[in-house]
Amino acid sequence: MGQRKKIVGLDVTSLLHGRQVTGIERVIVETHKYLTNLLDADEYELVPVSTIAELTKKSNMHPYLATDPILAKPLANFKECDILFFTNINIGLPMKELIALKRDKNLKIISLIHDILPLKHPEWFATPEKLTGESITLSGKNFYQIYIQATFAMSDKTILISEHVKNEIISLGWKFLPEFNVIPLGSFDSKPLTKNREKVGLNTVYVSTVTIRKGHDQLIEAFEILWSKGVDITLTLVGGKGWLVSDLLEKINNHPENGKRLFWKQRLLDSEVEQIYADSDIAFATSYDEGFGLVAEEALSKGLKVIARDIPVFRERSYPNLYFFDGGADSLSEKIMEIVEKPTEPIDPGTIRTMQAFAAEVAEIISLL
Amino acid sequence: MTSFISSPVELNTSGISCERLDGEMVIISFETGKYFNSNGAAADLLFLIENSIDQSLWSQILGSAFSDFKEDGSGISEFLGLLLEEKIILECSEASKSSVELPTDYQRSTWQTPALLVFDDLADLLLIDPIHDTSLEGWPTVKND
Repeated sequence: MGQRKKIVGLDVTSLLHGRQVTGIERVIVETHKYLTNLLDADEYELVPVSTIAELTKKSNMHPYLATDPILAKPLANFKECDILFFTNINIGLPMKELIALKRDKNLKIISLIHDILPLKHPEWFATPEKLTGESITLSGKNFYQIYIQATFAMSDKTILISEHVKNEIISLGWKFLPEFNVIPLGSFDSKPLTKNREKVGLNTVYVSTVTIRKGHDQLIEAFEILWSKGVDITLTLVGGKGWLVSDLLEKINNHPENGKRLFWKQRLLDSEVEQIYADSDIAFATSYDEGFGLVAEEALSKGLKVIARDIPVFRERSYPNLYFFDGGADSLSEKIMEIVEKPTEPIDPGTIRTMQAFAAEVAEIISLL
Repeated sequence: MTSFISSPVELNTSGISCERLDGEMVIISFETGKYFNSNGAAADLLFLIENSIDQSLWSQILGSAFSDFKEDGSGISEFLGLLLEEKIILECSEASKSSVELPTDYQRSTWQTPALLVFDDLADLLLIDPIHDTSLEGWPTVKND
């Protein structure tokens, strides 16, 4: 008689909203795809679960989410699982229930923490001092702290996506810290693109949700300096509208270069983003802070040079064609001109870390439980 | 030299998660599933309990930190009663330590009656995806559209 398969419940709560796809959703979906192949189907059954009973799958789900092999299955009951894997923030953790399941049914929990930015930089996420409902008075920062504390308390394995996140957590000075497994993310697609030979001039791209922490403000200022000096260079911003950026959006929409050498594109198909990468020479990673910063890996894997802000999380990567700038718009504009002149170094296949490598390490952790 | 309640107390460390950040304490009870939030003076009182400071020394410490602190009407006894009721603290045999420096993670001014915010039903907020359900007013305000 064969052993019973272990049921691994992958928490899809954040995907059930199904409205948009940013980096985190892509990380979750790609991890699901790889885990499906990496974990022996004779030993593990992977099922989607949600801890919030009211949430169900929507019929008009984003097409990319529809490619998720886990999400395609019927939702299972998390109480029937041997292992639960929480891949994103889930404030709705039924703590009492999970602790009882751990105690009575030897449930194992793995959690993936992407960052603690809402604790370190609440100003980037919430202008209201407090959430106010009928009886609720709780700041977004408190809310996130509850999530992190609950996660630490319940998880058998806590995965962080960079040493930087680990260092930031340690810097909180909290009394109880679990043992962390740092597993860096990777690029979604490591195939270099064929450059569009018909595309002329110097073109650059920044793929990122437009929010204040992503540094679009300085990037545009740097380009204004270059344009004022007569440099013929384009900047294409790719990404949805975030929050706290109304002034920036107004500036972009009313910019004299808008539609000429400054472009902002939203809701593109993956193939359209690929084309923009193919037409570009340089990509940017100008965030003031990140848990990982996928955009650098993604652009490097597509054969672009990348100029990243000189912050610890980006310094963890050491790749050819990755350059750093420190300071404001002036130094960024100087760095752009410096890097424009540099040849793009060829990168051997497999050099840039991939999401497959990330998922393989996650699979190892699952197999240890 | 006041004891605010009859017995020394300690944090119920086996039943709660209690961490401080920027002068605010977030407490999670694993037994009841409730969440608690305390800030300012209330967080400082929890800090004194956590560090096993004898209650007879609290007034001196708090008097140095809050210019207008007075034992009478401070609300400390009531606050401790609430902490005991919620099993955040437990009675213990003795509080052993005699001195501690209060954290410098927020700006203290006048004494505010210590309060414990109790959240035993976050259901309304649990349906919010705090990352995406945002308006331009910030996270995690719910979008109106």
